[in-house]
Amino acid sequence: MSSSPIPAHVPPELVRTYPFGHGKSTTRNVFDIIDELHDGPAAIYAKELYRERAGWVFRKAADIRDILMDSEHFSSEDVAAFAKLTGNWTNVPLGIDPPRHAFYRALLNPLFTPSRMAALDDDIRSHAQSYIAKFHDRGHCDFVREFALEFPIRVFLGMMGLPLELTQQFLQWEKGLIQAATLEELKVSTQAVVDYLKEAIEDRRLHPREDLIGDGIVAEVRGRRMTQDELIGYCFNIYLGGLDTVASHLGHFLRYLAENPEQQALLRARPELIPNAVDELMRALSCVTVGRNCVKEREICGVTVKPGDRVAISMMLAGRDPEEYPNPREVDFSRKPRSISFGHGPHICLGIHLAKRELRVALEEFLKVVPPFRIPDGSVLQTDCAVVVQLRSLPLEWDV
Amino acid sequence: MRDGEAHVLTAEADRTVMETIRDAGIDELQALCGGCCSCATCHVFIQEDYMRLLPSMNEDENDLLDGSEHRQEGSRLSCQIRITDSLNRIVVQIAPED
Repeated sequence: MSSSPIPAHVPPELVRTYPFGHGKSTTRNVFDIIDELHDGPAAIYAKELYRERAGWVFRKAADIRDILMDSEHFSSEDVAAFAKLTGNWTNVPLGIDPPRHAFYRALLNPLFTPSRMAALDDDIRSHAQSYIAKFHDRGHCDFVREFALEFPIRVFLGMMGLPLELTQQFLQWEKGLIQAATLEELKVSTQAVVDYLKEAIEDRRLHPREDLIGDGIVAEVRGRRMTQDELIGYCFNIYLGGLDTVASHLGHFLRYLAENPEQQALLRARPELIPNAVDELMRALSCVTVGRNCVKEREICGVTVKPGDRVAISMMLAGRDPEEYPNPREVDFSRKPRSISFGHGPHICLGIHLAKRELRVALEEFLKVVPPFRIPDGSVLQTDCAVVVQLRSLPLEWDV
Repeated sequence: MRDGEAHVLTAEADRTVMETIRDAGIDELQALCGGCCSCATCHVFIQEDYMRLLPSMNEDENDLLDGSEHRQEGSRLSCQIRITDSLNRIVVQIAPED
């Protein structure tokens, strides 16, 4: 991998190698790496951030909020490579800037409200239970492979009105999208998903039903229905948004509980703390990075960001910023953090209420059924450090 | 606050109720989207006397509140309420989290 040349406006002393980006991985605990970055400068210019592309990284939560609110200088359009590789569509609404963004958001918000998500509780719980039932007698599992990766896909397929038998297929596509080493590979995976979504949309036009695809077809943006390209972007955005993010957080959460038996015991003894624990774990163990492209020059933290510069916004850094949270390394289930792990500003995660529900139900069910668990001695945990930081596997064992 | 604990805050004209509460460091009001009427996490209950003084609700705010399990008569999104002189001494309670 060769780095792009460093632009002249970037102070050379801020140019760093950055531990996160496509193709990077580590056997260290990634949150220790995040804490070390907080000992460094407020702004760095990271080499090889998105494949060969370099970009700015701001580590303070206040700066990150500021950038996420400032769509005049920092655009979301063309940030994700997927759409441009396979046609003329764009991620809806992730790849659209305000003020147009709000039109789509107004259409989508009612589809993901807390009360609509609450209605899914039983489904979500039964998916979690069926995965746990497969391994709890055995005394061990690979939590990432046997639970975390597939569980959100099942919930997603149910909401989209797609057959649950597609779980493995969607998992394969997801791997292709996330782990693609080259743009060509990414294109192939994206095309496969888009082709499938096109078919599903067509099917729903012929056989109308109330699910997220059907709702998307009849929903109106400023008095008109979405075009075919907009519908693809909308379905793709939902697909992309809710799968590996929930899966990855679950992996980090369970690792934390396995490595901190006293905290695990606390949640077992007081399950009513779980909703709060989800918020706190989301703060401390957040694992998503989003991107923006600078479209108008702006100064932040004493550095000049110029049009064309890429900015990486790491929720991992924001959640462990010592200026924002006292003792950020400490996970305290009584803390009620105002975290920005689900983003901030117009593009705040649409699926926040769904994601929190999935995380909460997964923790509740796992702790209810599986006895105190630990990571087997000698396990080496490999973490992929791409835009979503994910444990490759998480072996857990318990006494049966 | 949700538990009924009262805080007296000084509000500056032209700022929103959400900004006034958030900037006073009251984290209970999450206001995740930063005030662009996108998330319903700044849901508050307004006392009846003040309801009629507020600007009317647009469709987006109404849709978002419809999605809350805790919507009631005095429900509003505090990011959509700008402080004016007529709102002097307004009392709001933070709605339960969804």
